[in-house]
Amino acid sequence: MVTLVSSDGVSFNVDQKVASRSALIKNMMEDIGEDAGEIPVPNVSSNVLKKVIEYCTYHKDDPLPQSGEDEGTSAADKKKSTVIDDWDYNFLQVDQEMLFEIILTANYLDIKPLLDVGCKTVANMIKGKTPEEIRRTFNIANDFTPEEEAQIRRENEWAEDR
Amino acid sequence: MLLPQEIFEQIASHLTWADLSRLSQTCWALHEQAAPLLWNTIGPGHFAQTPSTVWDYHDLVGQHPTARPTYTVSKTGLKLQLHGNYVRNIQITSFEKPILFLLDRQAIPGVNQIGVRFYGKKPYSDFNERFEVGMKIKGWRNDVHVDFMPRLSRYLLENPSVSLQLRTNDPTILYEILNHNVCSQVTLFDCQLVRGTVLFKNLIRPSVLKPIFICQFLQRATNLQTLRLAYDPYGVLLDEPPHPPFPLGPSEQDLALVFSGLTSLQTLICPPSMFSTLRDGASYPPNMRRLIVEAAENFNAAAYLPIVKSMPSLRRVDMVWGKNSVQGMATFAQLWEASGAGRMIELWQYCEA
Repeated sequence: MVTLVSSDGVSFNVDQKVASRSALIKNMMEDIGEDAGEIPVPNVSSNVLKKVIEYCTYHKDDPLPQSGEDEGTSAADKKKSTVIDDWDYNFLQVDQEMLFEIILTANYLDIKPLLDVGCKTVANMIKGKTPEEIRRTFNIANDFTPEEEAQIRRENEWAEDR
Repeated sequence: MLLPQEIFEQIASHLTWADLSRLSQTCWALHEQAAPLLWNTIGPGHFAQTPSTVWDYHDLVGQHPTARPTYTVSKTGLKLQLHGNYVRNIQITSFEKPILFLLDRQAIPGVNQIGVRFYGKKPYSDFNERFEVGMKIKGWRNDVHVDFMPRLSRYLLENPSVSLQLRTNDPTILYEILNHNVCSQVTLFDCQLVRGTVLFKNLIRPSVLKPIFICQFLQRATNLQTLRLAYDPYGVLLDEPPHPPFPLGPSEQDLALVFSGLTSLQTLICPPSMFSTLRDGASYPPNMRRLIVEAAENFNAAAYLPIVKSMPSLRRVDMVWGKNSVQGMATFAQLWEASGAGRMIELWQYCEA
């Protein structure tokens, strides 16, 4: 077992196999040895860390992604694969703040599958929406002037599917 | 929802260009994150990623429309504005199966420029074999695509925002084009103007193309807004010495007439060697606002000064891939100030991203 300590001081006792889903923690454990003891996770609050541990526990038996695996995947392949497993989909049905915190934590702790599924979830929230719909979805304030907006729309016209 | 750029890019990797474009239209912060992905990553084959199209595009070149000038030169002094190394726009200079594209006008999303490169026949057989993937209309006259030009013309007339970039040195095609007079942008392939004479390199059969054809074409191309005089970047024959000017070629006076008649021409794109003509010709398209110098090795301030002064409508000079331009631009700025020209000229330099 290893103990992960969140930024707000909450300790979580986690099986090493679960903790190893994080490449960062896995490396730390390998460096420190068997007596890893408490590992501080200073950038992650307890409620987010709890969710991340839940993900890692569920996926503890999944094959670990190989180093650099993503780099070998073409951008075209990535674009096609926005399908999300049911469990992951339900797991990420959280408020946006939590979703972005999970993504940031996955990035920080180097949990590639979680980062990937988080990014896919956000991408799916964007897909097919108009700029105004995206603003509503993410509560974004429009800080363009009408002229600037029109200018950017013109510049980006080539990208529109028509 | 501001995220670090690397995470933003991972999200963007799951989006189409259209999605990313709309995301960039939501607010400035997201625009700043999305714009480099939209503009800097476009390259050969990238269009194939757009799910709505299966086309294999390549040869995408151009400029980022929001790139900032390296220098702005004015009466009030020199302002340094380093731009963000954006060098992208959508100019498709060749693509596969244009016939099919023209049959299905919805096939290419957002294209604002069509590039067509017509390959010659026997003289360019090696060239064709190497680049066959780029164009299927080789052998214009024998391969029957007789309705291509009317179809292309109709498409251009119905879509005035789309311009045609034509790369050819086949007079038959030039005549076809000028008969329809639909070109707003033309690239004349493998030709340059040297001291008042149109000179074509790479002509194995000089009878195929006479410079006078080009002049006739230019005289009739009243809609021409952009003219590019280009070398063939893939040319297998570029090592050949240039042919001497044709004896029946246009005189300097002819050329001056042609140039002064290009009243719609706003942009001239050419290699630095063009400047000998510009210096000596003393006749310029009267409304030209922009001069784009391709493959510019350096910026010779003394050489540019009389050219720029002689073109009162000129407002901007772009040095594309100028390796040693910055110092020359600074010198130019000083000379320009000292000359008391009293007119603002923007000097832009594009660097490799």
